[in-house]
Amino acid sequence: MYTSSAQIVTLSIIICTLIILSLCLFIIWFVYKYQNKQSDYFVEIGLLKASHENSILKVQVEIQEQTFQNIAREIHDNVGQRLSLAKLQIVNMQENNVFNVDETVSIISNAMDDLRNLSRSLSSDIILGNGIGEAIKFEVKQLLKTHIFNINFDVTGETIFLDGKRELILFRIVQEGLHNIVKHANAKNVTIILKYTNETVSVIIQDDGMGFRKGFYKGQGLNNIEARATLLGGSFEISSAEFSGTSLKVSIPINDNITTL
Amino acid sequence: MGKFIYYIIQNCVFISYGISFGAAWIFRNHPLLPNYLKDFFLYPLIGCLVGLIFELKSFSIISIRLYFAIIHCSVLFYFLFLSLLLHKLLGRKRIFIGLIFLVSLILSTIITIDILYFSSYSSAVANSFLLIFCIYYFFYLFKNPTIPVLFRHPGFIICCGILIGSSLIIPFAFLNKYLISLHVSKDSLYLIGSLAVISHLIMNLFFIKAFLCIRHLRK
Repeated sequence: MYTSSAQIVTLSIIICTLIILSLCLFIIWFVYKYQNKQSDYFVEIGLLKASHENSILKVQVEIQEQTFQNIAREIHDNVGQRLSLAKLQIVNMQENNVFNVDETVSIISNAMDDLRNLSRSLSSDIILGNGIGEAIKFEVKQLLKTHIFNINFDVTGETIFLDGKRELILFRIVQEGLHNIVKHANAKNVTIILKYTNETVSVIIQDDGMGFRKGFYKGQGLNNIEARATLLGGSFEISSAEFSGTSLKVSIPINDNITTL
Repeated sequence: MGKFIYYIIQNCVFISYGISFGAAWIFRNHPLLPNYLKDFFLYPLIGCLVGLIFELKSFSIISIRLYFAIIHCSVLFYFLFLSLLLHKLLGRKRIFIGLIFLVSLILSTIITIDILYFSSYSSAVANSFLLIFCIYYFFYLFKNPTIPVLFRHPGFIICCGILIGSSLIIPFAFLNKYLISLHVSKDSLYLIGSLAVISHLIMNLFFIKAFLCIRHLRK
């Protein structure tokens, strides 16, 4: 027969074994569940990253395509025309035996300037090197030379440098917006505001052009702007009425890894 | 009845050691076998040899004191083998290896006492430390969640086996001597002792499963 203390010891052994065993099983279960959750999370993050990279690639291809179009248009409309004119003048000089090269030199110089400007407006180095503010300033300067409309450019808030890729995409949004105004708005005055807050960077582009009726504005250009703003995790707003101009606003959030001037 | 159950389980344990040895031997050159399992066949091999000695003792061919000496020396081997395996799993930390040899030194002293007084404190201490090392490994896994499917990771399965096995041995090994001093019937003692024996069976089942995981990887 068991003595009472033997019973207690036996019970203690069984209870201790059960307690330690349950503790161990709990640890195994907890680590297993936690690891499963973590691996699901990593898979999800991986998928999101892949999808994000895919979108970036798509936008980059779009931007590249648009850039090629710009180059082709600029070469055909400006540089090509000027060089043809210069060639005509030289042929004319040869035929008439009159050598007044000043005008021809000026035409060729203008063509060279056009090429330089084209190269600068397309080069991402300018944006990556000096920031989006400087890049917009340069773009404004170029547009002012065309005398199509007046442009006001303001920067509000403390300047913050985003990472290069984000700034480039934002700058392409501004270029697209300005390109739309040149092409469709028939505006006299354009205002561009680059606004920095603690959380966001916003670009507002306003014009006093023809505007458009609600529901008639979704062209490819605006779709591109919206897609790029979404890619940057930002928002895109547009407001317009017929004959009273258009206002376009793109806001993108600022990441944690920023450098403040 | 208790003695019968104990012997049945003991024999199952030796069979499981045999299967575990077979699996470790077959997979020892497998290209997907992790480095920490390359020499694993030694562990069940010693288990089989101890089983043989258990049979010799049953037929009174060797003395009980020699049997005890061999059993307790094998405890030191098990501890060293499994803790070094955990050490490899944890990325070969120097402090860890120092701790293993310090515990081994303490164990050697306790083993001498165990052989002299027929106690089993060495087993309790060795398994307690193995339990702590395993918990540390799980903590390490918790901090570095890099393994995608845990139940196909041999290291995790082996640790589960050691953790569950150790948890079954510790209370009995600590209180065994005290229980004997209370003059508990042999039958009951064998029944409670079965707990400790089952732990080896569970450990071996986990080890076999760990090697089967490698076969799944091959598929």
